[in-house]
Amino acid sequence: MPQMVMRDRDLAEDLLFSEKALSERYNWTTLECQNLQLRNTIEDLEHDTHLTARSIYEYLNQRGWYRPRMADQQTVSWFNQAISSIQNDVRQVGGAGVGAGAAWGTGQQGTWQTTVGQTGYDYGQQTGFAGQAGGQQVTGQAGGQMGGQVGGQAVFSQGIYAQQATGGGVQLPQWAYGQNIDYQGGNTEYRRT
Amino acid sequence: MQLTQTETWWVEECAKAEALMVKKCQMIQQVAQDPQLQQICRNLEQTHRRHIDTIASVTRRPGF
Repeated sequence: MPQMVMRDRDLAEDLLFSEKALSERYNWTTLECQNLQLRNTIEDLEHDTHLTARSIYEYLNQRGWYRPRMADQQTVSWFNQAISSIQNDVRQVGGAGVGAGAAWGTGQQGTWQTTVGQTGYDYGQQTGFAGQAGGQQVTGQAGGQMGGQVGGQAVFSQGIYAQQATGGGVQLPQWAYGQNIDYQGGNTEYRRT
Repeated sequence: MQLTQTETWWVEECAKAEALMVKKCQMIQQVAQDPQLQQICRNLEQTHRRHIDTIASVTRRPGF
Protein backbone atom coordinates (compact mmCIF):
# COMPACT_ATOMS: atom_id res chain seq x y z
CA MET A 1 0.00 0.00 0.00
CA PRO A 2 1.51 3.32 -1.04
CA GLN A 3 2.48 5.58 1.78
CA MET A 4 0.77 8.97 2.00
CA VAL A 5 3.23 11.80 1.80
CA MET A 6 2.42 15.27 3.02
CA ARG A 7 3.99 17.67 0.57
CA ASP A 8 4.89 21.23 1.48
CA ARG A 9 1.72 22.41 -0.18
CA ASP A 10 -0.39 20.03 1.94
CA LEU A 11 1.39 21.13 5.08
CA ALA A 12 0.91 24.81 4.34
CA GLU A 13 -2.75 24.35 3.43
CA ASP A 14 -3.31 22.40 6.62
CA LEU A 15 -1.66 25.19 8.54
CA LEU A 16 -3.90 27.76 6.89
CA PHE A 17 -7.05 25.77 7.71
CA SER A 18 -5.88 25.46 11.29
CA GLU A 19 -5.35 29.20 11.55
CA LYS A 20 -8.82 29.79 10.18
CA ALA A 21 -10.30 27.39 12.72
CA LEU A 22 -8.41 29.11 15.50
CA SER A 23 -9.65 32.49 14.31
CA GLU A 24 -13.25 31.25 14.36
CA ARG A 25 -12.74 30.02 17.90
CA TYR A 26 -11.44 33.41 18.97
CA ASN A 27 -14.37 35.06 17.29
CA TRP A 28 -16.88 32.96 19.25
CA THR A 29 -14.95 33.58 22.43
CA THR A 30 -15.03 37.33 21.84
CA LEU A 31 -18.78 37.23 21.35
CA GLU A 32 -19.25 35.23 24.53
CA CYS A 33 -17.04 37.41 26.71
CA GLN A 34 -18.67 39.32 29.50
CA ASN A 35 -15.43 40.63 30.92
CA LEU A 36 -14.29 43.60 28.84
CA GLN A 37 -10.60 43.20 29.60
CA LEU A 38 -10.68 39.57 28.56
CA ARG A 39 -12.68 40.45 25.49
CA ASN A 40 -10.12 43.01 24.36
CA THR A 41 -7.31 40.52 24.81
CA ILE A 42 -9.14 37.85 22.86
CA GLU A 43 -9.87 40.34 20.09
CA ASP A 44 -6.16 41.17 19.87
CA LEU A 45 -5.32 37.48 19.62
CA GLU A 46 -7.93 37.00 16.94
CA HIS A 47 -6.43 39.85 14.94
CA ASP A 48 -3.04 38.19 15.36
CA THR A 49 -4.37 34.97 13.85
CA HIS A 50 -5.59 36.97 10.87
CA LEU A 51 -2.04 38.16 10.33
CA THR A 52 -0.51 34.70 10.67
CA ALA A 53 -3.13 33.28 8.31
CA ARG A 54 -2.22 36.00 5.84
CA SER A 55 1.45 35.04 5.92
CA ILE A 56 0.55 31.43 5.08
CA TYR A 57 -1.86 32.59 2.41
CA GLU A 58 0.86 34.66 0.78
CA TYR A 59 3.26 31.72 0.87
CA LEU A 60 0.69 29.53 -0.91
CA ASN A 61 -0.30 32.28 -3.30
CA GLN A 62 3.29 33.05 -4.36
CA ARG A 63 3.68 29.42 -5.39
CA GLY A 64 0.39 29.31 -7.27
CA TRP A 65 -1.08 26.86 -4.78
CA TYR A 66 -3.82 29.12 -3.57
CA ARG A 67 -5.15 31.40 -6.22
CA PRO A 68 -8.83 32.14 -5.94
CA ARG A 69 -10.33 32.38 -9.42
CA MET A 70 -11.40 35.89 -10.37
CA ALA A 71 -15.10 36.46 -10.96
CA ASP A 72 -16.06 36.78 -14.62
CA GLN A 73 -17.86 39.84 -15.97
CA GLN A 74 -21.31 38.24 -15.82
CA THR A 75 -20.84 37.27 -12.19
CA VAL A 76 -19.62 40.76 -11.34
CA SER A 77 -22.66 42.22 -13.08
CA TRP A 78 -25.05 39.96 -11.15
CA PHE A 79 -23.20 40.77 -7.97
CA ASN A 80 -23.48 44.52 -8.48
CA GLN A 81 -27.20 44.17 -9.15
CA ALA A 82 -27.64 42.09 -6.01
CA ILE A 83 -25.86 44.67 -3.87
CA SER A 84 -27.89 47.51 -5.38
CA SER A 85 -31.08 45.55 -4.75
CA ILE A 86 -30.15 44.96 -1.12
CA GLN A 87 -29.31 48.64 -0.73
CA ASN A 88 -32.67 49.67 -2.24
CA ASP A 89 -34.52 47.22 -0.01
CA VAL A 90 -32.99 48.76 3.06
CA ARG A 91 -33.78 52.27 1.87
CA GLN A 92 -37.42 51.32 1.41
CA VAL A 93 -37.61 49.73 4.83
CA GLY A 94 -36.85 53.09 6.36
CA GLY A 95 -37.34 53.60 10.07
CA ALA A 96 -38.94 51.56 12.78
CA GLY A 97 -42.52 50.47 12.78
CA VAL A 98 -45.44 52.09 14.50
CA GLY A 99 -46.00 51.47 18.15
CA ALA A 100 -46.11 48.03 19.55
CA GLY A 101 -47.24 46.50 16.37
CA ALA A 102 -44.80 47.13 13.64
CA ALA A 103 -45.48 48.35 10.23
CA TRP A 104 -45.64 47.58 6.64
CA GLY A 105 -45.96 50.62 4.49
CA THR A 106 -47.58 51.19 1.20
CA GLY A 107 -46.15 54.23 -0.46
CA GLN A 108 -49.43 54.40 -2.31
CA GLN A 109 -53.05 54.29 -1.59
CA GLY A 110 -54.26 50.80 -1.02
CA THR A 111 -57.02 48.60 0.18
CA TRP A 112 -56.43 45.67 2.43
CA GLN A 113 -58.94 43.05 3.22
CA THR A 114 -58.64 40.39 5.80
CA THR A 115 -60.19 37.16 4.79
CA VAL A 116 -59.53 34.80 7.62
CA GLY A 117 -58.05 37.19 10.09
CA GLN A 118 -58.66 36.82 13.76
CA THR A 119 -58.25 39.79 16.00
CA GLY A 120 -56.34 42.88 16.71
CA TYR A 121 -55.85 45.01 13.70
CA ASP A 122 -54.46 48.38 14.59
CA TYR A 123 -53.09 50.26 11.74
CA GLY A 124 -51.01 52.64 13.67
CA GLN A 125 -50.90 56.21 14.72
CA GLN A 126 -49.60 57.81 11.59
CA THR A 127 -52.35 56.67 9.34
CA GLY A 128 -55.07 56.33 11.92
CA PHE A 129 -56.37 53.09 10.53
CA ALA A 130 -58.22 50.87 12.88
CA GLY A 131 -60.19 47.82 12.21
CA GLN A 132 -61.05 44.31 13.07
CA ALA A 133 -59.84 41.30 11.27
CA GLY A 134 -62.24 38.82 9.82
CA GLY A 135 -63.18 39.90 6.41
CA GLN A 136 -63.24 43.64 6.79
CA GLN A 137 -61.74 45.97 4.32
CA VAL A 138 -59.45 48.73 5.37
CA THR A 139 -58.38 51.49 3.07
CA GLY A 140 -55.06 53.14 3.47
CA GLN A 141 -53.51 56.39 2.43
CA ALA A 142 -50.36 56.98 0.51
CA GLY A 143 -47.19 56.63 2.41
CA GLY A 144 -48.89 55.24 5.44
CA GLN A 145 -47.85 52.56 7.75
CA MET A 146 -49.90 49.74 9.02
CA GLY A 147 -49.02 47.80 12.05
CA GLY A 148 -50.40 45.27 14.36
CA GLN A 149 -51.17 41.66 14.86
CA VAL A 150 -52.35 39.52 12.08
CA GLY A 151 -53.66 36.19 13.04
CA GLY A 152 -54.92 34.84 9.81
CA GLN A 153 -54.96 35.56 6.18
CA ALA A 154 -54.78 38.96 4.69
CA VAL A 155 -55.29 39.96 1.13
CA PHE A 156 -53.50 43.02 -0.10
CA SER A 157 -55.43 44.36 -3.01
CA GLN A 158 -52.87 47.06 -3.56
CA GLY A 159 -49.72 48.08 -1.96
CA ILE A 160 -46.08 47.45 -1.81
CA TYR A 161 -44.69 45.75 1.18
CA ALA A 162 -42.07 48.14 2.39
CA GLN A 163 -41.44 47.56 6.03
CA GLN A 164 -40.93 44.55 8.13
CA ALA A 165 -43.29 44.05 11.00
CA THR A 166 -41.10 43.91 14.02
CA GLY A 167 -43.44 43.60 16.93
CA GLY A 168 -46.81 42.67 15.70
CA GLY A 169 -46.48 39.13 14.58
CA VAL A 170 -46.16 39.65 10.85
CA GLN A 171 -42.80 39.00 9.35
CA LEU A 172 -42.51 38.64 5.66
CA PRO A 173 -39.34 37.32 4.16
CA GLN A 174 -36.64 39.60 2.85
CA TRP A 175 -37.60 39.09 -0.74
CA ALA A 176 -41.02 40.57 -0.13
CA TYR A 177 -39.70 44.04 0.63
CA GLY A 178 -40.50 46.49 -2.06
CA GLN A 179 -42.66 43.94 -3.83
CA ASN A 180 -46.32 43.58 -4.46
CA ILE A 181 -47.23 40.90 -2.04
CA ASP A 182 -48.17 37.46 -3.12
CA TYR A 183 -46.94 35.36 -0.32
CA GLN A 184 -48.06 32.32 1.55
CA GLY A 185 -46.11 30.84 4.35
CA GLY A 186 -46.30 29.71 7.94
CA ASN A 187 -49.66 30.42 9.49
CA THR A 188 -50.26 33.51 7.50
CA GLU A 189 -51.08 34.00 3.91
CA TYR A 190 -50.65 37.17 1.92
CA ARG A 191 -52.03 37.28 -1.52
CA ARG A 192 -52.20 40.21 -3.84
CA THR A 193 -55.59 40.55 -5.42
CA MET B 1 -14.48 40.41 38.46
CA GLN B 2 -15.03 36.72 37.95
CA LEU B 3 -15.09 34.80 34.74
CA THR B 4 -18.31 33.24 33.63
CA GLN B 5 -18.61 29.53 33.00
CA THR B 6 -18.89 30.26 29.28
CA GLU B 7 -15.76 32.39 29.28
CA THR B 8 -13.69 29.73 30.97
CA TRP B 9 -14.88 27.09 28.50
CA TRP B 10 -14.17 29.17 25.41
CA VAL B 11 -10.83 30.50 26.61
CA GLU B 12 -9.68 27.00 27.48
CA GLU B 13 -10.70 25.89 23.98
CA CYS B 14 -8.59 28.69 22.52
CA ALA B 15 -5.61 27.78 24.67
CA LYS B 16 -5.86 24.13 23.63
CA ALA B 17 -6.07 25.11 20.00
CA GLU B 18 -3.02 27.36 20.41
CA ALA B 19 -1.09 24.46 21.96
CA LEU B 20 -1.98 22.27 19.01
CA MET B 21 -0.73 24.96 16.67
CA VAL B 22 2.60 25.04 18.48
CA LYS B 23 2.94 21.27 18.05
CA LYS B 24 1.89 21.42 14.43
CA CYS B 25 4.41 24.15 13.66
CA GLN B 26 7.15 22.10 15.31
CA MET B 27 6.21 19.06 13.28
CA ILE B 28 6.14 20.96 10.00
CA GLN B 29 9.57 22.44 10.69
CA GLN B 30 10.87 18.87 10.79
CA VAL B 31 9.14 17.47 7.71
CA ALA B 32 8.87 20.43 5.34
CA GLN B 33 11.33 20.53 2.44
CA ASP B 34 11.10 24.23 1.77
CA PRO B 35 13.28 26.39 4.07
CA GLN B 36 10.84 29.28 3.68
CA LEU B 37 7.99 27.16 4.99
CA GLN B 38 10.20 26.02 7.85
CA GLN B 39 10.93 29.63 8.68
CA ILE B 40 7.26 30.58 8.57
CA CYS B 41 6.55 27.76 10.99
CA ARG B 42 9.30 28.91 13.33
CA ASN B 43 7.71 32.35 13.43
CA LEU B 44 4.24 30.93 13.86
CA GLU B 45 5.38 28.68 16.66
CA GLN B 46 6.69 31.70 18.56
CA THR B 47 3.49 33.61 17.89
CA HIS B 48 1.30 30.82 19.21
CA ARG B 49 3.52 30.33 22.26
CA ARG B 50 3.12 34.04 22.96
CA HIS B 51 -0.64 33.72 22.62
CA ILE B 52 -0.74 31.01 25.26
CA ASP B 53 1.34 33.17 27.58
CA THR B 54 -1.01 36.09 26.96
CA ILE B 55 -4.06 34.00 27.79
CA ALA B 56 -2.40 32.69 30.94
CA SER B 57 -1.32 36.16 31.90
CA VAL B 58 -4.68 37.87 31.49
CA THR B 59 -6.62 35.17 33.27
CA ARG B 60 -4.21 35.16 36.20
CA ARG B 61 -4.51 38.86 36.82
CA PRO B 62 -6.06 39.97 40.07
CA GLY B 63 -9.77 40.16 39.66
CA PHE B 64 -9.95 37.11 37.45
